Amino acid sequence: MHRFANPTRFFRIANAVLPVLALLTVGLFGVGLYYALFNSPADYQQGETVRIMYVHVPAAWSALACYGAMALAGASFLIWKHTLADLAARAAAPIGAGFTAIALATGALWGQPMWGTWWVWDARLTSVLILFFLYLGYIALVNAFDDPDRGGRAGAVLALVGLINLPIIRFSVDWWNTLHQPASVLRMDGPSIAPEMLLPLLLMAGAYFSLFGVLMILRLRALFAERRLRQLRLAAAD
Amino acid sequence: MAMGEMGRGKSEAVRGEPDVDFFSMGGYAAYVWPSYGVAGVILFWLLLASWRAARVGEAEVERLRALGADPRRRAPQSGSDGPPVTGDQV
Repeated sequence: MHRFANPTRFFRIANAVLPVLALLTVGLFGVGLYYALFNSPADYQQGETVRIMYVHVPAAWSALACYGAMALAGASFLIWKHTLADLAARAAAPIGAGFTAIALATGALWGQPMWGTWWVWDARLTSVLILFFLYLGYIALVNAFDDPDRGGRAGAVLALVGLINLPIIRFSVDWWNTLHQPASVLRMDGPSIAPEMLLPLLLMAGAYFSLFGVLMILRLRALFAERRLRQLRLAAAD
Repeated sequence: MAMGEMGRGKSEAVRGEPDVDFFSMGGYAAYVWPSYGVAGVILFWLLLASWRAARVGEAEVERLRALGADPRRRAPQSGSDGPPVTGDQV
């Protein structure tokens, strides 16, 4: 882990991985969208609206995973004080906010025809909305300090406290009455979803996750350049 | 004849007639397509913004370094303050 804390080494590896990951992303989106739109059945209850699942569920999964990664990076920064860990947490936040926004918007577009409402204040939807605000709050907080390390530490604490929201989101559909359907893939007794629907779902999830990797590398490079600029300007001002 | 009908359906598709059923999404077009649209716009915007930020930031770093603003490169000339730092310790 510490070997990758050296930015030069890290970016050498990351830049080598980037084109592979970019190609993988394009490929997975291509095949995934083909299956999602052309080569998968309509649901016997939900009809064609089930195709919304292929953009909605992977967005929600990656929003949760992204938050976990952000909190992990924040914790690493608190413990080992590696700048790269702080930058990783900062890089993840807007990506996670984007994924969460997709999950919320496509969820509303799925809710209206199936439930008869765009939105309900139930446990699942509300906890995902809180996830969205946690991302926004994190972004506002880390940028509110003149000293980036202080901002990073404050943000890391917020990210860690917000971790409590992840199990709440995960189990909200089991703990409380909700319109939202329960998990059908990540279940203790195996997936209950039809295999013809599971395949496009997993392909799209793979596409989202590899895109997450691409975005992380690009944002890390941007944030690292920003830090270098700050150093250069401070040095020039001396 | 089922086979004949299937064959005819295929040739119609080949002739490029729009598949009305596909675009109408069984009457749910107003919900399915905006979902894909929203996801596409947000993901694409994230990609574009991240790529731009990296490119602009790195270009600016290069510009400043070329101007000699890098203290680690200037240090040997100024002499007195400490040993010169060499190599790419970015």
